[in-house]
Formats: sequence, C-alpha cells, structure tokens
Amino acid sequence: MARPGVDVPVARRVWRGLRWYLHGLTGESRYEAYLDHERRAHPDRTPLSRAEFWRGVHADQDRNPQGRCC
Amino acid sequence: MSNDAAPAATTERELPPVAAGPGRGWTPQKIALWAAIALLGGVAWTMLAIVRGETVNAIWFVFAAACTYLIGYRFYAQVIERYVVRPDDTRATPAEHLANGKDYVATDRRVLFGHHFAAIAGAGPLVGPVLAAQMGYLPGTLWIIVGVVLAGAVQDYLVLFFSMRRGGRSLGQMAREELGRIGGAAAIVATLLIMVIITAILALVVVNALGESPWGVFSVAMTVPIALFMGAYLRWLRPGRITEVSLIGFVLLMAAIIGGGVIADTAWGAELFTLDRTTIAWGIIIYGFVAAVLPVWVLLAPRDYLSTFMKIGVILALALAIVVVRPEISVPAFSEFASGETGPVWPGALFPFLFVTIACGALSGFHALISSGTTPKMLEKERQTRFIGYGGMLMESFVAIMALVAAISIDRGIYFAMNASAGATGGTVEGAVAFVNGLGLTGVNLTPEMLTSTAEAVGEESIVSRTGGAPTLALGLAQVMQSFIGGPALMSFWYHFAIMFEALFILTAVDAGTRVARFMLQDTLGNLAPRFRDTSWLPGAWLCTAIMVAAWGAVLLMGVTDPLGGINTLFPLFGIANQLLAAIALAVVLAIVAQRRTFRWLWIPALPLAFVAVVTITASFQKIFSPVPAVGYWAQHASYRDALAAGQTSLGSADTVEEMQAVVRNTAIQGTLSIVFVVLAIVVIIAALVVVARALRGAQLTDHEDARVPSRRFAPAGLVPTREERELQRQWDALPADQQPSRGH
Repeated sequence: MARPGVDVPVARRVWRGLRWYLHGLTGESRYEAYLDHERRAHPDRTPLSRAEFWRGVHADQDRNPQGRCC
Repeated sequence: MSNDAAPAATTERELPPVAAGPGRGWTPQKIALWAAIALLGGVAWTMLAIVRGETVNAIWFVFAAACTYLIGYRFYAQVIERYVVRPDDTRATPAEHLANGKDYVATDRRVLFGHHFAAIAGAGPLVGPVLAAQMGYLPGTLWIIVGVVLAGAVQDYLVLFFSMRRGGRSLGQMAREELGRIGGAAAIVATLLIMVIITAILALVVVNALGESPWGVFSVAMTVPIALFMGAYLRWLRPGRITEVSLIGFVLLMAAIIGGGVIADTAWGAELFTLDRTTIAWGIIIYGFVAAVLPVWVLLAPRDYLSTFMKIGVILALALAIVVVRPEISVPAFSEFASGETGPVWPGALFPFLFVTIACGALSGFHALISSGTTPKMLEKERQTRFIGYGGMLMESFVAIMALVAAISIDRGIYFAMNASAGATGGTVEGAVAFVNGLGLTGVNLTPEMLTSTAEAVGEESIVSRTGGAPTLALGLAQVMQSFIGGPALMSFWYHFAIMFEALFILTAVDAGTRVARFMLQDTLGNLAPRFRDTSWLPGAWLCTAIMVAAWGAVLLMGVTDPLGGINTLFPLFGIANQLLAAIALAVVLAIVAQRRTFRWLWIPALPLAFVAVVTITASFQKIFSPVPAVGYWAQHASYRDALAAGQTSLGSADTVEEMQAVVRNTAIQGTLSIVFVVLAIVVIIAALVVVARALRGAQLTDHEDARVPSRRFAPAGLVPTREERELQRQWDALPADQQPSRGH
C-alpha cells in the first residue's frame, strides 16, 4: 500500500507513484496485498513467506490456465 | 459524470458513503470542452474521409480516433451504463466479498486497467490492420473506430460486468447457464476449435517473420534462455521481485537484439541461424509442447512479465513517435482492390472480409475470455467496469489504428511486394517488381533498388513475400521510430525490435493457448474416462497436450507448406473464428440483458450481434460456396481435383503434382472448418434467440447473479475522480488505518 503521500517533495512523490504503479502492474505487490488480507481476515495464523506465496500463485496458475489474447 | 443508478448511500453508520451520487451536470466549461472535442474529431474525419488530398497527415488518424473514443466513452458508454448495465456501487464486488488475498483482490482501477489492457492486447491488433491496408486506409480506419465504439467495447464491457456479477465466472460457464445445454456445448466446442486455429495462425505469423532471417531467429531464440533465467531468479534468488527481474530481462532482450545483428553478420552465425520456414515451424511445435507441460514459473510467467513491459513501453513509444514525426500518408482512401475480390494480400470482397481480417482492435471475441477471467475478480467497484472494460478496449483499438498508420506509412509498392504470396512474386526481387508493377496501381513504381536497399536497411536478406503482417508492421514501425530516435543507423535495430516484440506475445499466446485447450480437452474427455479430470495426472496431461499441439501444429505446417501462400488462405479463418467467439459472447450477453427485462435497450447488444452474425455467416458461406477459386475453399478444391484428374501437373502457383495434391487436401480441411464454424455460430445464436423470445413472452427465468452483499469500501469510478468522488475519498482517507479497506495494489 505504498500510495503517494502528501507532505513529500514532488520528485519523491513521482518516484513513489511510479514504483507503486510498476509493482502493481507486474503483480509484485500481490504479496503485500496478501499480507494485508491475512492480517485483517486471519490474524490468528502465520502468513506464507514471500517465496511460499509465489510458489502457490504459480501452482494455481498451473491448475487454472488463462488464455492470452491474440 | 453523473450516475442515476445509486444515490449516495451508507451501509454502516460509522463509514462514509460507499457510492458517489449523481454529478453536478452540465456546466458551460464542460459544454465548451465537449463541443471542442466534437469539432476536432469532425475536422479530423473530414480530412480523412472527404478532403483526401494527394497525401494525408497521420496526425488526423490520431485525432479522429481519440475524439471518437472520448465521445463514445462519455456518451454511448454512459447510456449503456445507465440503462443496460445499471451498476450499483453499494453492492460489493467479488473482490470485496470473496476476498482471499490471492485471486480475489480489490485492485486500484488504474493498475487494473494496465493489467486488463496487457491481457487483451497482443499481436492481433497489430497484424489485422496491416493486412487490411490492401483496401486503402479508409475502410480499415472506419471499421476500427466505429466498430470499437458500437461493438468491441460494448462486448468487453458487458461481458466483464455480467461475469463480475457472477463471481467472475468464465464465458463457457455463463453460456451453459444462460443458453442451456446445447448452446453451452456448442460454445465450448467452438472455443476449443478457435484456440487451435488462433494458436496455429499466430504461430504462422512468427514463422513467416523468422523464415530465412538469422537475426530474427537468434534474438527470438534468446528469449527462451532469458525467460529461463528470470524464472530461476524469481524462484530461488529473489522470489517475488518481479519489477527488478523484468528490468533485467528487458536489458537482456535489448542485448539479444543487438547481438543478433552482430551474429547474423558472421559467416557461422548466418549459417547456423538461417532456417527455412518448415524447420522453424517444427521448432515452434516442439517449443509449444515443452513450454505447455513445464510448470508456469519456468517459462510462461517470466515471459508474461517481459511482454507486459514491452507491450506498454512500445505502444507508448509508437504513439509518441507518430505524434512527433507525423508521417505523410500517400496510400489512397480506397485502393484499386476495395471493390474487387482478387487483392494479392488476401482474397475476398470488402464486405464481409474486411470485417474478419480486422478482428482485434474493432471487435474481438477472444476478449470475452479475458473479460470473464481474472479481471472481474479484481474489480474494486461495480461502476469501474466501464473504465476497465469499455475503456480498455478503446485503448486496444488505438493500438490497431497506430499499427494501421505504421503500415500505410511505407511505400505501397514495397507493401505489396512484402505481402503478396511467394507464388505470385516467385520470391525474387525481379519477380516482385514485375508482379507489383503489373498490378497497375496508380502512383506505384517499384524498382529493384527499393527492395534491396530496404532489405539492407533492416538487416534482412530479402523483404519479398514476407507475408503475415508482422514484417510489414516492423518496417513501418522502424521507419517511424528511426525518424524519432536514432536515424537510419537504428533502422535495423527497430525492425528487429518490432519482430521480437510480436514474437514475444505470440509465443506466450501459443503456450497459454495450448494449456487452456489441454484443460478443456481433459474436461471433455473426463466425461468418458473420469481419470482425465485430474489435471495433475501426468500421462493424461501429456497426452492431451500432445493432441492439442498436434492439432494446431498440423494447421501450422499446412499453412507453412501451402503452395497458395498459407497466410492468405488461412487468415480469413482466424478472423471468422474470432468473430464467431464474439457472436457467442454477444449472444450470452443478449440473453442476460433480456432476462434482466431491459427490453427497450436490447438493441445495444443486439446491434453488434446482428452485425457480427451477418459477417461471420456471409464470410463462411462465401468460403464454402463461392464459385471463385481464390475465395471459395471448395471451388479451389474442385479446380485442383479436376486438374489432377485431367492429368495436369501444374496449376496456378502449384508447380508439381505433390503441390497440387497439397492444395486439394488443404482446401478440404479449410472448407470443413468453415462449415463447422458456421454451424456452431448458428446453433449458439438460435439458442440465444430462444432465450430472448422466452423472456419477451414473460417466462420466469432463473437469475444466475450472486446474492447482493453490501459494500464497505469506496473508490472513484473513472480515471479522473469527480469533485464529489474526491470529497468522498477525503472522508475515507481520514479514517484510521484499521478501518481503511484493504487495497491490494
């Protein structure tokens, strides 16, 4: 959730915004989203590590293939 | 932008409203702005369609497209939103009420727009418009821009919304639920066949671009080790660091392109990497099998990251280059081939074949599979479907317009020399010059020097009969880009950059398409032998992958070795298949709209459905029944069969008995596929009409929507928040962190 803040210099905000967008676009921030979800919905259990999470994502993709457009 | 669907509403007392009310309506500034947009668009269309001087500047294409899109999005999409879709922002989306931190994740609309766009845009919008340029620029431009506003974006928007209301269900599942068993089964068979055809023809585009091109073969082959490296990096070195590995991959890709130029110049490099098209086709078939049975993290996922980066980067660069360079276009609005059916690039009359040649960019049925895939599970608010679904498709259309501009910015003589089949040009510079100058095109005077110097400039042995659209687009893109960055010295770099860029998407599509088709086949076989349902059962997975690869591989090899030119005869099938899928998607949508009892607005999905039904059915009928051999598969079949029976040993561009037999075989397969497609299309459309008729008669129909769950979060609907949305956002931002909704990205 690295959203651009308010009281920060412009260059820094642009850099943060760019980083935020690229991480979102590539899907890198999916892990942070997962952590956030776990913290809210299942505070009782230990969340997966980053590596475990991505292994799970790829295993899911193996089981549910999605087409790419032509 | 106003919205009458949902008044400002609160679901919980302690939370601010979750939906913005109607906007402030029209102000003088807004009226002036939209009048200016309309005026600029009108001027641009006048320049393109009516003034038609000796040349027309490419900037008018950009203005005509952008202004029409803005008006379509602001007005037509709003009508659809208000009367057909009727989104309700007080209702939670699947991403909110099914949130699981994995696939159901509410995602910022701007990020999701990028995701969705990267998933829908591939090689299709880059290839179709290039081939359609044989008719002149105006028919293609009109269809791309008008088609997207009234058909393509409508389909994407409605499928996305209805899939979202059904928990992100797939098109196949929706077809089964809404159209009944027969309609649903036809839709699934059609999807499977379409996967095979589309994979084969995309692969054929790559084969044609890489044949006899050591530079291209080397740089595209290097994408495999680069992807393997990225996969290993993400698996073991730095798991999940996708942005950094994408940047590393991008640098390596650039190195592979530059390295390809160096290696193609060496004697051993040229010898090792100059491959004929049949060898490359076998290479892709083997690659397709291996890539589809490997786990996704090895090749598919890293390749996806690379192509997302390349896609968005190149498209932005090309748009910027066209605006800065503003090339003058000397292609006529309507060419000599617009009124006939014997064009050298693809046969058939403007109606219906222009509308199947350009599928992606105007109306693409394949998008219905994406819009009912991951995107609906990531939407944060219902009203964002308009921005993501309708807006995303407008962006793809803009890509198609830019591809068209790039293709028509090259010399027409060169265009026809590159796109006429080897049967027509003989594959030689002299043959191409004689053929193109013999076409009698006004203003075209091709010389051998033009062909040899262009080939040299892009670092290729020859550019004659480099069919399939990709090389033509690459040449156009290289010409535009070199006048923007680098000058003539970088021409060959940009050319191979474009080839690599297209090959990257296509190889990903081949891999992913094989996987999807394999799962569909396993699911179908599971009805006979339940063991096949278990997709982790390796013998079943390998067998089904092999069957699907054999299916598209056979079509690919047929296209590569076809004496009549391959892509020319097969491309119409690709377009027909894609538009058939659009007809299925629109039929499902029509049935849903009828069941929601919004009869007054039924014409909104009915209009594109009627059009695409007429186009696919007419095109299929012509492919089946036309007596003109160049157009009708069976007419061609009969003429070659009769010639063989009469003891002839050559006919047209087939020089031997074996080649003639190949034509007889190929046309029989193509003709049979045409029959299957048209029958499936008719079945699905009838199934939809039956549902509509039952709804009109007032029959009580089952509602397949998920139950309503109240929303507890807020986000703006469009790209730019309205004043009221900004105010609401401030209220939400003021909440303590633990009460803020979780937003993934």
